Amino acid sequence: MKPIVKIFCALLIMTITVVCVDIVFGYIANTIFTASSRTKVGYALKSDVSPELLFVGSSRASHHYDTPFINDSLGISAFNLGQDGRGLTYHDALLRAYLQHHTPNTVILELLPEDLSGQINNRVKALYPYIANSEEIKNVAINVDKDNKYLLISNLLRYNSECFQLSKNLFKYFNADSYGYIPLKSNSHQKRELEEKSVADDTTVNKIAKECLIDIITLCKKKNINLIVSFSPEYYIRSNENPIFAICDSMGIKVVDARRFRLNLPASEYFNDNFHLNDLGARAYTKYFMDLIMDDMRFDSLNYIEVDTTLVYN
Amino acid sequence: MSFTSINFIVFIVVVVVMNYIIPRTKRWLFLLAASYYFYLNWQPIYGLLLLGTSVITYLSALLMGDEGKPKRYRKWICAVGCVLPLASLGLFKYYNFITSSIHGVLSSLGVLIEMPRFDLLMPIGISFYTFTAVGYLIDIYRKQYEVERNFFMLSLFIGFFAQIASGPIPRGSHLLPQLRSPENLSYDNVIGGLRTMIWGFFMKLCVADRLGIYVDTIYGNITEHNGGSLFLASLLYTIQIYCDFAGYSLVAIGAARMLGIRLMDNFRRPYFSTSLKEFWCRWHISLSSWFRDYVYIPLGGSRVSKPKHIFNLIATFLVSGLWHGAAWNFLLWGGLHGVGQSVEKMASRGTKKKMDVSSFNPFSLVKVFLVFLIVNFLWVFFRLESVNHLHIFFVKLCTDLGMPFVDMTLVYGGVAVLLLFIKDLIDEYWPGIKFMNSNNIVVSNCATGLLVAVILLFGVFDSSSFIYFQF
Repeated sequence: MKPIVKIFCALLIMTITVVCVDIVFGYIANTIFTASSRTKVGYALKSDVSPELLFVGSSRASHHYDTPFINDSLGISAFNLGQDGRGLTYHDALLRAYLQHHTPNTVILELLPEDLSGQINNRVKALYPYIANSEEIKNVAINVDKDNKYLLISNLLRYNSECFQLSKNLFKYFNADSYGYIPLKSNSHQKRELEEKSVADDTTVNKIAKECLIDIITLCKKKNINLIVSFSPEYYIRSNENPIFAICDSMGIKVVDARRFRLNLPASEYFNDNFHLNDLGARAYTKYFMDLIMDDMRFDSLNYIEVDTTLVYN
Repeated sequence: MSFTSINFIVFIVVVVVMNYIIPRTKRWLFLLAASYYFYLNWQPIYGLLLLGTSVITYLSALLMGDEGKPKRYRKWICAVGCVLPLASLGLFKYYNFITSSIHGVLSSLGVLIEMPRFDLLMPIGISFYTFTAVGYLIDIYRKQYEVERNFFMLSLFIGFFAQIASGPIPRGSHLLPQLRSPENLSYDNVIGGLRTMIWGFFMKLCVADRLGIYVDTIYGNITEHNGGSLFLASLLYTIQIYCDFAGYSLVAIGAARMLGIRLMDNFRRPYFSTSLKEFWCRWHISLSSWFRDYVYIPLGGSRVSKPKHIFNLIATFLVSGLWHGAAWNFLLWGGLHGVGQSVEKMASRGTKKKMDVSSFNPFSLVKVFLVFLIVNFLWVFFRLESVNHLHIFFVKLCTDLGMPFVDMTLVYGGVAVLLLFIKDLIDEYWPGIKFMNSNNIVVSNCATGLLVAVILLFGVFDSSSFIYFQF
């Protein structure tokens, strides 16, 4: 056999192998993981019901907003779509996909000042597995990186570095009774030492993250959804100079800055670490937050509410 | 253009196809153009430095090649030809280190003098192509082979794209003849080279970059983690640096082989070594042999008195440490390796055992384990640049050895390391077993295709560049 023919055959066998694995893996993964309700995102995207209140954000959204309490005690339908370690690109893509078929009354976007800075662009990767279900996620992914237009054709690349994470859900379904809320137990062994510290806000701006924030605001306005940007409690004391405030202010978006929210208890009893409340703190903060956003008179008169350090909530 | 970018994949496909379309006699010219295109993609201005090094090397070699000239004259020409490229390397790599060290010493004596800084970005591959050029000149001085009289051919030898960024450091006797008369298109070269590249990508993207996430998390915040996490991070760094650099070398070797050029092996499963000496025969072979031939042997090598021999060893390793980076921790790392080899030498005095690397017995496994631990310990000095961090590392290791921090990275990394370990174990002790290199065209290419699928699924594609780029 001539070398060129032999080389061509070898390349063909390699390509066929990769394509076959890609197709088979993609089919299995789509069926088991994303097209089903095994994950929080999968469940939310598939659900036929639109909640009145939707929480979006990273770990602080996921751990701070006690949606079972809101649903069961306040009688307001609420769902928590917060996921650990995400960023604005992720929130943008997720909201775009979610709002295609759902129309909540209010969206609470939980942020940290650093969400607008730093290297957060690839956070949208966690949503690549759901691209088969949503063209919107693909559009945000392409906006983040133009190469994605071609790369995301591959199922293997879509599930890159996510398959073990997703496979954890292989033997369990998403618990709908949690309404997406993941409490940090107050007796958790993962509890960390709190550190007394004042931190300046990061004022640098990541261009893509900024575009995503503006995109989220525009999207909500277009769909007539009430958007509130929220900064939930943290143990650090920060300055108030981050550019998210200015962007929200210029676009008429309400902001709740509750980073200095404190309970009448030692901090170690309601904070899990410097950035996260435990279930006790989350319940108290959720009550406070709901009081705040449901008090129309108070909130409609202001676009920005800052929770004072002197305020102690019982 | 990084080896792990899509641009490089497109580049190598075009270069391989064109290489075999162009007549054999003109291929070197095409490869030279491709090499400069590759290099200029980083910092175009530094192409001048590469060109300058080629010109100096070419002229020096030509002058040395003049048979009528006395030895003293040739020696001077060789010295000048070596010093000029080394001076530019020194300026870019060591100037700030030297001035800040002098400043530190003077400050401690109460003398405050402001030293000017040289804050230009270090050209990619300067350490590698400078050593290629210097090695060539010394070989010519020693009359080990003929002077290359074609300037463009010599420029290709110094700037060949596959090896310019991080080696392997080539030798004229090995590479120049291949560049002059390239091989014809062959299945073994193209597909064999491709397989080598793919395994290199696996080592880099699935192992090194994955473990790098954990290592950076722990070492980046050393005060926050306990001794268990720090020890685990040190073990993972030991594997990371091997896979990062060996992965790069394999991509380089594979890319060159696809063009019909065989570069020298750079790594031979170094963590299966049973002694530090053997480790250095398997780790960064092209650099180790460079130091052996151009530093250690000229100093006298082992054919001198014992104290002088130990001095030669330590001096060579100190230079090697300094080559890796302009910082005290690299010097310390090199020095400790030198001391380790000296101790090994003294301990094995009088016992001239033949090194049997292929034997698989419990005693050799114990030795492999011990050498791995020593090498791992020394990599800590390589990775942690500040004395304060080193102090915290060892204090925590002794006083706070709790359960290490565990996250998903360890699962992905663990699976990849297991695959790597199995392959290296088979290659080391049972080289007859073959999957990717099976004679059956279907088996070998399916295995290669599966490996590509594994890389697509488990590789880290948004990572930084190669660790050795900084050297």
